[in-house]
Amino acid sequence: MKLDSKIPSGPLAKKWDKHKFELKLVNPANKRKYTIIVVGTGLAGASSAASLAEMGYNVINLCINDSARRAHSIAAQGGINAAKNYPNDGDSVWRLFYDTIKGGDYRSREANVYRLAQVSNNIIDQAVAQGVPFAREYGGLLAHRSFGGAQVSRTFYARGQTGQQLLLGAYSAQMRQVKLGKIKLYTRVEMLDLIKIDGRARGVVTRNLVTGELKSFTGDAVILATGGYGNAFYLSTNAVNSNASAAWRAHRRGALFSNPCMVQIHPTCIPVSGDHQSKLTLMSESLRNDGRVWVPKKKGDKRPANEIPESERDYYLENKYPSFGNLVPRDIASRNAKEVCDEGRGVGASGLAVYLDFEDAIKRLGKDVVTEKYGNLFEMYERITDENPYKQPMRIFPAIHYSMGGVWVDYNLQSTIPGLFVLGEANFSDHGANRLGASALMQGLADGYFVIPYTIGGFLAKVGASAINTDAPEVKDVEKEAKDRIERILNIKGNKTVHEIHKELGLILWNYVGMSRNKKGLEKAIQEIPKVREEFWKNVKVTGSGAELNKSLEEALRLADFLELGELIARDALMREESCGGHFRTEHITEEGEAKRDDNNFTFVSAWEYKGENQEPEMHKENLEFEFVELTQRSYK
Amino acid sequence: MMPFLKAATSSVGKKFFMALTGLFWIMFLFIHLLGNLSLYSGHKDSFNAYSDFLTHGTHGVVYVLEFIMVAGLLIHVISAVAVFISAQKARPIQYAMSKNLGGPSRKTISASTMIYTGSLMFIFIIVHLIHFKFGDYYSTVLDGRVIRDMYATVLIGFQSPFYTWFYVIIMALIGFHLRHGFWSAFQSLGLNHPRYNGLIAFVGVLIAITLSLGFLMLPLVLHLTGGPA
Amino acid sequence: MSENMNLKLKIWRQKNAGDKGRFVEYDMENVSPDESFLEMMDELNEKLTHDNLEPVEFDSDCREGICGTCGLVVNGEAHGPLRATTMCQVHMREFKGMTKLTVEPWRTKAFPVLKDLVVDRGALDKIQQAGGYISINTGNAPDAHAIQVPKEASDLAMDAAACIGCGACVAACPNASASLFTAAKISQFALLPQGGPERKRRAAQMVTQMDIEGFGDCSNLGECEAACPKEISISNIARMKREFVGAMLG
Repeated sequence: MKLDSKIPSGPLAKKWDKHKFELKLVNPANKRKYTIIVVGTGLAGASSAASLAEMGYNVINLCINDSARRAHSIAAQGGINAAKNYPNDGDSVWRLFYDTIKGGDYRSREANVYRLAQVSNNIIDQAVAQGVPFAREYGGLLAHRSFGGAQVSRTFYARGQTGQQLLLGAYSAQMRQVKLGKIKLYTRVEMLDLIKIDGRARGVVTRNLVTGELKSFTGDAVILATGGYGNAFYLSTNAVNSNASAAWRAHRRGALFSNPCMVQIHPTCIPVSGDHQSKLTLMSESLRNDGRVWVPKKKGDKRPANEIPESERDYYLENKYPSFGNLVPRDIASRNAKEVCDEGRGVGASGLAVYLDFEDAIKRLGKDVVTEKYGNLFEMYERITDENPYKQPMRIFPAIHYSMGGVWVDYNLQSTIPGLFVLGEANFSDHGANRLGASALMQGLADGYFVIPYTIGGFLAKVGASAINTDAPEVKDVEKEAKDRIERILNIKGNKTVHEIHKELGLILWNYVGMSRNKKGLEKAIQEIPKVREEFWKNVKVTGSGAELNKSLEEALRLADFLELGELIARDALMREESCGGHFRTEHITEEGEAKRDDNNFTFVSAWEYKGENQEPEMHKENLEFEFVELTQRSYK
Repeated sequence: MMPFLKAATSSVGKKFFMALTGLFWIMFLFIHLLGNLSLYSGHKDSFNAYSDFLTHGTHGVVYVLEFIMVAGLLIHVISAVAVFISAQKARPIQYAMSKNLGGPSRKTISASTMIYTGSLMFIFIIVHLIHFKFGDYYSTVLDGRVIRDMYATVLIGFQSPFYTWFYVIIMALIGFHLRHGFWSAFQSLGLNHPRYNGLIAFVGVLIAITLSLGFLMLPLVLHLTGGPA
Repeated sequence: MSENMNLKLKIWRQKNAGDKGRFVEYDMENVSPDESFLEMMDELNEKLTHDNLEPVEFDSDCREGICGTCGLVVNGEAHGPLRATTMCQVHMREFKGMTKLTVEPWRTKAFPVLKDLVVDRGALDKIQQAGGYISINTGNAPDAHAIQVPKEASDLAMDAAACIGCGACVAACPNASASLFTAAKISQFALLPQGGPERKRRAAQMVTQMDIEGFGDCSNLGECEAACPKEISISNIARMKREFVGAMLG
């Protein structure tokens, strides 16, 4: 299979404009003849559904939650980047582009990332016009801050709720179109499969999560905006309903899946407190601006933090990375935490945590300043752990947070299945091997507001409008497959719950395909995961029926897909014999123990093709060409 | 533009007019209380003169005022009943357990009994009118004119312990009603400002105590002393 | 580490919207005070599944207090005993010393129970659809700095916008009124210059929709503010009333 990324020719800064001009247009009067199915109501889903409906298309919008306002986009606290250069500090579209490419460890497409930086400014304009209450200065203009180690101040924020507020902005636009009848919104509905007719994506089969009814929707194009796959690991900062089934089902129907091993691990999460743990809670990275990370020098030192004298503490980030100290990028901070815990120097009951200490910050800045900056985070921490961070250091540990990998898409955000477009975290396109802080929101909204409205028009104008009857045999076949799958799961009546099996998968992934990976471990994972999959299909236990609200069944269906995806993550990680961004192979490190890329052999995007159940997938490569930036090794010493 | 009637009968509209009529009645109560004060003076004549002025001396203006008061009262009562019914309809199955949440909540006893204190006050107003306005008629002569001896009606009325205690209890309940009602009226009119909220609540309590005690003392004093004369 | 707890749970079970529903009691032993209430419910469900029983259905998603999906009434308190907190962030240590917990769904006619503790809050979306937006199509926006907003107004708008649409205000209101939810949205846009052109229409339509959905009227009791996980003030309700009266009289 030849992968055509459809990157326009010409100078980087002109590519998008040129491409927009070259795309065919759908006549305004004809737009109402097309139906577009948007799966997902997060930032990418809501913004695309609203924008396309405003243009005149008929939109069918599917939402897994009870309301379109709940998607996990809401959890992003920190902010959203834009190259506004309002502070006059040297920012530019080029710099945002460059930072994102470099931050992604040179494993993303120049053209996509440049476009992302270009439209970043429009997102802020759009959000402000929608009434998103961004923080402001006394002069009435927007406030901004430097975030995630950026050298310029380009992050806009709405208190600690930036993701929530941006989603509510998109949601409000979406609700307006629902009222106008241009969006038909279905809540508590989950996509179970993709309907392909004559090679084109023409619809989806869904399950009504309240009644269990299977229903198909058909249209001229399908957009997946269904988020990432972090929950394959069982414990992650993702919402409990976040899943990869829509993307995985599309993959099984022929959409290639890219860079699955590129998963981001966030260093400042609240550690696991016991077996009951259902998900992990992230605390803003900004904590590392003032908190100092340390562990005891001695192994197994179980004394309370305040009884460990200064001379017996190891401020390992400050010692190892004198110039960046506690502010090293996410992947490095995470990996180092794991290392010290592996050495037996972890703290807390489980030994799987490191201290993040604010004692010095409180001495230096005063308690009031610390409260003003981090008060809400301290409160949240105390609520969860019952420990007061003003009095004893916080305990933190890394957790799975974001998936850079996803469905392969071209410059038009179209997958390898014609008519199937994939937006936001669900695609692989913009973050390479590592995502920078405050750029997930940016990408979701860029895709939905400013990219897909153009590129989908180019596709639709070419193929023309045509309707598919939901009684068509191709539709009924897919429906039947979905129905059979549900019945199969319900009939197993085994001995293990969905959570128990999911935990097993999560443990394998975390141990062997987590923060640091090696050949032996990855091979073990590739051996073990099919066993868990087999166990699932033989021994899972789901009570209740398929004709009612049944969350165990929903989770079982999702887990079945995670069990396949998990193996692909491991395979991709095994294939990539280098360390880059979130993917760290212990065999590929510099003399100082840092990630070592292999640009000669791995400057490509992997794109896996599904070959059937229990068959080895086939990998295709999209070579990345860097015309405009020079590849350098990241160094934070 | 919104049709006025639709707006006025909406959830917000109802409470808006309930607030206006409530505040209007509070104003009336103050005037009423001032009038009552002349009873304390023990001068039968000044009270009767006042009473006579209200009924005959205003050239019919009093009828307009009475009409407004009755209309206001009806609006207040009908809205209140509508709010009460809406609440019942909105939660057909009650919680097995419920709790007052405290903190910023204003759900005090007085707040959650508005419909009951209000109902009793409504009954009271009818009884009060029957008792006094349309009650026993005594005559007296003032400045050569034969007028109604309202003073006597009051005095004789409060010789009955039943009436006296009925009045005292209802007047105490007025205090409860106003304690929440005054603040609530401001909120319903949209008059809420962090700078003045404390003041409004304080004035509300003050008004509740003043009116309650003011009205409550009179029957008690008259009953216990048999009147100043 | 504090001691584990033994609890009797009295939980509302209801097969579907048509079912009458009833309370069922369950025993939970050895509950860690460090787990969240919802994790305790997860454990109960694991147990029920192993016993071939149907798990208790309840809603939750982000489990970090921001998505607004979860919400239960525990011992008469919406989102449980901890103020300014959603159910998912309440940990079992808050129930220290208690032996019996009564768990109920949000109760109002406007939020029909779908199953067990899961309710349909679609009515809130309908209120939003009635006018909770600024009519601007993608691509029409002027530069963000073309609109200046006083910091005070912006901060107040953010206070109101913090609403997560969980419905606790309705659940806690003795009248089952959705005024705080509706007011939060109306307030956010009324405070911002961008919301100016549509403010009267918005207030009129959103309040009308709120009434249509069958919520009770507001009696200014303030339980909503006390239950709100984002501590949204009822001063927003007053602002909604000003906006509405403006639409009524203007």
